[in-house]
Amino acid sequence: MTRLHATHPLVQVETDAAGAPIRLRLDGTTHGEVGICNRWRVADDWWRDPVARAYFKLVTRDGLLCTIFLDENRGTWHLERIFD
Amino acid sequence: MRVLALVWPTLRGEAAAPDAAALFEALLDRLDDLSPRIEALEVGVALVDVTGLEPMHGSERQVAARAVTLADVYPVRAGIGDNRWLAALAARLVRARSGDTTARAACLILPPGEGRSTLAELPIGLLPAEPAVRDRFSLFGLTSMGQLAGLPRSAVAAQFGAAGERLQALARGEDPRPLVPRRRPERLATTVRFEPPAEGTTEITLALRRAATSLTDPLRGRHLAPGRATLTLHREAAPPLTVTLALPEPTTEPDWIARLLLARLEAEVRSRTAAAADDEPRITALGLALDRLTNPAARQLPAFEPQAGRWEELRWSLERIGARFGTGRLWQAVADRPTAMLPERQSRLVEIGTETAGGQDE
Repeated sequence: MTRLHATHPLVQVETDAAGAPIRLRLDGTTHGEVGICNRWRVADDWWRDPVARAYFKLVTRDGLLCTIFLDENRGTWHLERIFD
Repeated sequence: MRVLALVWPTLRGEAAAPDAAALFEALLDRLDDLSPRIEALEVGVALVDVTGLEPMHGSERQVAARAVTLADVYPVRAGIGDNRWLAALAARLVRARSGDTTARAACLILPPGEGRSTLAELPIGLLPAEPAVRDRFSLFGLTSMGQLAGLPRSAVAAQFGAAGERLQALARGEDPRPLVPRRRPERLATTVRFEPPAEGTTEITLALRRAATSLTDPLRGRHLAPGRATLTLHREAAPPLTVTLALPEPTTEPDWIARLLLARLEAEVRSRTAAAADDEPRITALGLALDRLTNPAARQLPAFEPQAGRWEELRWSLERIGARFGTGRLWQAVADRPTAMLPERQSRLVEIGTETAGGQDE
């Protein structure tokens, strides 16, 4: 079961030199020791409202499993999905 | 057995009024006063067992006249015969025999035991035969019912099979099919009066639950459950307010019946007060009626359309959840583009009961 956050709330993400997340702050809580389960890119709607996102499926030390993405057009990080 | 057939031409066929079925039911209810054995053959055609009614109502013609009087709302044709076939045929022939095409009511009585002799001269085309069988009758030179009736039964069976045998029996005025009396639709009703008149919803709610319990308890013992509930509120200096609830599934749960009726009632009152913008009058009495009684255990879902039954169950559950938690709190996920690249474009939420989309927008 997953919860889709269709409004894509902003999250604060700390990245390494390669741009991969190493720490994220969500609802006032900092989640460290981030492990990356998967990563992929989505580029869509280039002909009208371009979407370019770098997705990361993360698991943190305290057991949070979620999907976040970097909006490459705006340079902001967003939460998309939390897994139970 | 003596059977009276009644045919209301204006209630039959495609030209009939849209509420012909309801009008026909009302006519049958009136005829219940005449005989306890009435079969509704189809909308606009009824068969009444009039055997042994003479001591009470007089001769057969008087019985027929009484039936016609009871059901004389629309033009009616009546026929009496020894069985359902002869009675129906008599009702069919009455118009031609009487010669008066403008009469509102007409009746033809075939005397007892004279069915075969009466039919002998009638054309064979009056038999309810398939066109192919009818063509074969004409190939054999059979033009009247008497000709078919006079043939040896074995010969008819050899040429026309079981259907031919049945048609020959009809041509001889014989019809072993019994009358299948209809079951009069049962309706349970109760009324609660308020002294002094009720103002708040609490009193009405309690009274409605008590009324629902008093009606459903005896039904449960008979393994019956209502399929429709009607609530009528009699108001001070205002016309009665009636809400009718067709239950998607027969139920004997008085609490749910009361809750659903109250939810409907609240919606009705809201719409009325929004339009009239005046104070709600006090309630002097509450009437609850339950009908469409069926055996809930006998309900059978379609074998090859599982979705139909499941949606019915789902609608019922949604109705109950909506009544309990209020409207605007139930949403349905609609998968518009399941293959879309972005998850938020794959589906959206739609409020149940409305056409407008809500929640996730593209």
